[in-house]
Amino acid sequence: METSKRPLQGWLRAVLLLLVFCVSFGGCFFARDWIAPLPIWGGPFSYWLAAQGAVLVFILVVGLYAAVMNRRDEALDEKPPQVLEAGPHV
Amino acid sequence: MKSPPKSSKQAPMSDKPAPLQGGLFQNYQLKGFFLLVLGVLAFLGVMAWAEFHGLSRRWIGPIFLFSIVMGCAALGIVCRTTDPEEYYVAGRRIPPFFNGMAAAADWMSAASFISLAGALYLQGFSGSRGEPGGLAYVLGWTGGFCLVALLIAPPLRRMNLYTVPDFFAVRFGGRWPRVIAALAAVVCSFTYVVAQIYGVGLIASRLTGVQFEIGIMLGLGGVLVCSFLGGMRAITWTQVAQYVVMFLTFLIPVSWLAYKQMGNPLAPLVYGQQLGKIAALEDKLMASPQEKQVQRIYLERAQNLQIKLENVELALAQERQSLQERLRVMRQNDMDVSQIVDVSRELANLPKDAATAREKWRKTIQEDLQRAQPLGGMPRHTQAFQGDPDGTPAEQTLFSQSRLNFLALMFCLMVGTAGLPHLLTRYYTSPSVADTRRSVVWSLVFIALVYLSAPALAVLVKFEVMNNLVGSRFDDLPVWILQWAKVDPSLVSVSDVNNDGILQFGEIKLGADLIMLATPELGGLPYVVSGLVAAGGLAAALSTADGLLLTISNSLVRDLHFFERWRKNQSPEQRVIVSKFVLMVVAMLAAFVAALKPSQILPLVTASFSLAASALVPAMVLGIFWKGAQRAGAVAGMLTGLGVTLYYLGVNALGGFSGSDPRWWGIEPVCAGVFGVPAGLLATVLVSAVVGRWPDRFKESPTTPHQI
Repeated sequence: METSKRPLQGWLRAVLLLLVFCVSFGGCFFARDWIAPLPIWGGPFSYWLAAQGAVLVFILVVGLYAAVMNRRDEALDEKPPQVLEAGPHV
Repeated sequence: MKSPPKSSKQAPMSDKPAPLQGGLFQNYQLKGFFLLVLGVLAFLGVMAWAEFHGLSRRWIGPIFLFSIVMGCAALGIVCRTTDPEEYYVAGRRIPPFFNGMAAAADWMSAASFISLAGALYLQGFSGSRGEPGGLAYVLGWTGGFCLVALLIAPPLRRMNLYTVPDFFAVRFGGRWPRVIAALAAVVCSFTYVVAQIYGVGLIASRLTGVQFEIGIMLGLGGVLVCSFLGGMRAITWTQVAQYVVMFLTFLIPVSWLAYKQMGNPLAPLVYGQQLGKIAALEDKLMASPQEKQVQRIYLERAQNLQIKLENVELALAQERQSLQERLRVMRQNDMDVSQIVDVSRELANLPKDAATAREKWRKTIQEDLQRAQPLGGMPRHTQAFQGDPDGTPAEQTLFSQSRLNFLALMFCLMVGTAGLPHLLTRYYTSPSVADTRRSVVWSLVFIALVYLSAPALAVLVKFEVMNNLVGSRFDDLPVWILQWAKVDPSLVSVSDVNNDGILQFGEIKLGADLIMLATPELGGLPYVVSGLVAAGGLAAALSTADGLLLTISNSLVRDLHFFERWRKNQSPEQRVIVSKFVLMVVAMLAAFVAALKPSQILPLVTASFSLAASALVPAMVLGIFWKGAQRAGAVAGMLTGLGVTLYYLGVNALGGFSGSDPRWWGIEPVCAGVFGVPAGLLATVLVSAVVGRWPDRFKESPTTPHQI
């Protein structure tokens, strides 16, 4: 039961960490290039991204991961007893 | 040790049905929390009322200091315990909401609270090449929580540990992984705690006007009683209280300033419109002839000193002679006493010998040269990195090195976050793995509440200074400038360099630590709020020092080998008592080191992040995620990471061998972790791979934390 769920958490983690990396390191690496003039915020977008946008993304990442993993854990916690009880009869 | 999480998971949930989102707290905790918030607000109200009715400013500071320290001590007495489960991990029943709050307070140190806004003011987006900073602190100190949440905290919590070195003992077995991890934890936490206690001393001495050393002792008293008696349980609840204080003290002045400037108190949402105005003001200042005049004067001063530096002995002798001559003439002519005192003080302040003179003048030259640049050497606020990617080759190098250092600093802060033991042990106190995940989310939310406002505060203060302060006449400068200058001239200094009686931007120099402390007065708020802000800084420093001291003493007593032999015939309670005394000794030692004023707050903190990142994180992450990681690999990884980082810090501190530039790729020494982390990873992988091919009898059976 553990192995079947592993790919999901591995992928989730990889995608989320990649997102964090892009927002922080990527966003700052290109801060002077094409990110600054993006017309999203009143001032230069790269400043907003580094000062606030990235932090909001981090919260989103951590929150999403916690929600998905906790839901999965709850599902796992409930299933094993059912399987065990059903096992001998079937 | 490795019991499945169920047993601990059931405990808190038995009296509560399935939690909706986030483990819900018990009723009494919530009630206590609201009482606490109301209490803080009421206290503030009473103080404001008292000031309005004539309470002297001299008393406000000491009252704040006293109430904070007494509050900590009282919580320590209420929560006193010798039960190991309570002392080390607060009984593992702190609900995520409060655990997140405590972690936020634990996390936000004097550096974040006092220096962050100031650093953002001075450094803008990215700081300079030699001093990276600015938003790297915001990004690093929040981004690290993604690593903590996704990679580290849940698996560690699943293993039911007490300290971070415990992980190495459980995962790798043997003695050495744990001992080395404990040493690494002690080294980085100790560096960090020295910075905190330094901050405590700074603020306490400012609040009360006592000496720095006595300030340290006053602040430390509260920490000690709290962590000494109550351990993790008491620390958790003091940290919750301290977060409330910090949050209010940050929010009140920021909102006030935002309301004053833009008619909307929600500073983080609306400060963007000030950025455009600041850019316009910067243009105006850079074009202003008076500013250029001031810059020229600084350049001349630097050049004059440079000439003196060529023959220091002669210049020093000449200067001494001319001052003595002036003094003699003044005495003969019966000049004003205060002038005579000024000159003789100048004479007394002359460097004693050539070596100190050389050092002092070099520093002054650097300062003068910096102030000879446009905007006093500060980068334009929203400009990322120095130099110009499309400019001359020199400008291009400056740009790429400035960017590289910024990214390196961010990397060290992020990875260091994932390795700092005092933060990780906070997540041991959650009731379950699921609650640990929720705790990290709450921590980040609570940290973000302050961190999202910090850039806004920096912008608002900058606008206030550029728009209102610059151009005011020297004879009616605001009172706070003079008051703070009297406390410490390195915090704020103004001098009419070009003698036109009007304050230019180049003539005012603000220290990073002042911005936050002076914000209330800058915004025209009553002095009580200034006291409150200083109290918030004190709370920030104390809460972090609490957690760090506990981590250090626990690592020493639980994890280090030389306690192992005689701890076998001790009961767990006796061990707790030993921990308590070690904690006191460590606190005293840290206070002693802090009293020597080894460095500024921020470099110390950054160095400890580099240490934590390179020593602990590689072996820990590989141990969690790679079944093939071996004991020998972990030991090699930790030693290599720690060694590389310490070497890089040391070599740069000593100035390198044979005069050559000791920096690799121009990376600043505080970012040493950027070399230590890959080195540690590589060493762990290589040695594990080699050992893994040996016959089985040489191998340990690694216990992987199953199913993260």
